[in-house]
Amino acid sequence: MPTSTQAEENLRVIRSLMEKATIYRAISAPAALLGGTLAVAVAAAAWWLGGRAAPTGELPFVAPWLVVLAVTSAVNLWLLRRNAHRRGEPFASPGMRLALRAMLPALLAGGLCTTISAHCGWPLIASLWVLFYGVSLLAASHFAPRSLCWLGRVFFLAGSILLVLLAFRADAPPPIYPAVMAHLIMGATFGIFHLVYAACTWPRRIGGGA
Amino acid sequence: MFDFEKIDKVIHEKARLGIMTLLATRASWSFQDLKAQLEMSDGNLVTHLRTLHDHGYVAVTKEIIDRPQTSYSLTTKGRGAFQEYLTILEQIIKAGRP
Repeated sequence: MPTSTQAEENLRVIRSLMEKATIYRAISAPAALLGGTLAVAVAAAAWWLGGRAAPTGELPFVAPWLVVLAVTSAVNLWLLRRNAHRRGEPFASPGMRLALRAMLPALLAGGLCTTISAHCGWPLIASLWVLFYGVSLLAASHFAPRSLCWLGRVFFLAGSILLVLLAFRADAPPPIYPAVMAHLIMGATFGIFHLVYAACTWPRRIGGGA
Repeated sequence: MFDFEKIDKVIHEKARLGIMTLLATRASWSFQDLKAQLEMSDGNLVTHLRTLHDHGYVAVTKEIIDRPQTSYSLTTKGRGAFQEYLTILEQIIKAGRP
């Protein structure tokens, strides 16, 4: 005979399972692996080219990262579409719409900061991108898996620390060329953090089929 | 006084309650996704799904998407039974309050 306490416990289980079922993973592990690898590669190339172009130190910054963003986003969307199809869900599922609504404002704000702060130097822009990307991930934390919440926290923390360091060192001469430093910031954050995320969330097969 | 005989004994079991809850959240669930979400063994999950299927609560679809895949969904009868089960749980809680 179920008691009131048991009934409450059952309702709690139902609620918890329903919440788990509506969790939406906006970044798939393979896309994070691709994005992380590309980011590290671009940063490594910038480091190498920066050394070669020592007299000027002028390297393109925004364009290569827009290419990385476009390639990674396209692959991520394709993977999300494939997973939605496998689950018999529409591509623009309620989870995806919820994630977009939560994440877009911070992502757009980061993009807007690029245009207004271009004269402030590439390291500042890279730090703002890191910070706003963290904010966008945290905005989706109510329905995101724990791993994505952690990724958001790490990006937010890294972005905050970078901004503080840049503020403290504003008057000091930069140790390396600003564009190279900005590329290294991107590689260390978007590259390494996404590679760690991919390693932690890579889908693992559990036992056999039905 | 609340009539406890009203409660659906098929759903009122932890594993089957979990299955019914998940099936209520989406149009259909693959066996692998159910297994991963509920952290149940193959045999255990198959047994409970069969019980729910035998009572007409769950429909089974076998199809080939890249590889053979079995998916499960709630029938109209199953969805109704789940909603009724939730209503009864609420009534039990209300009846238990002073």
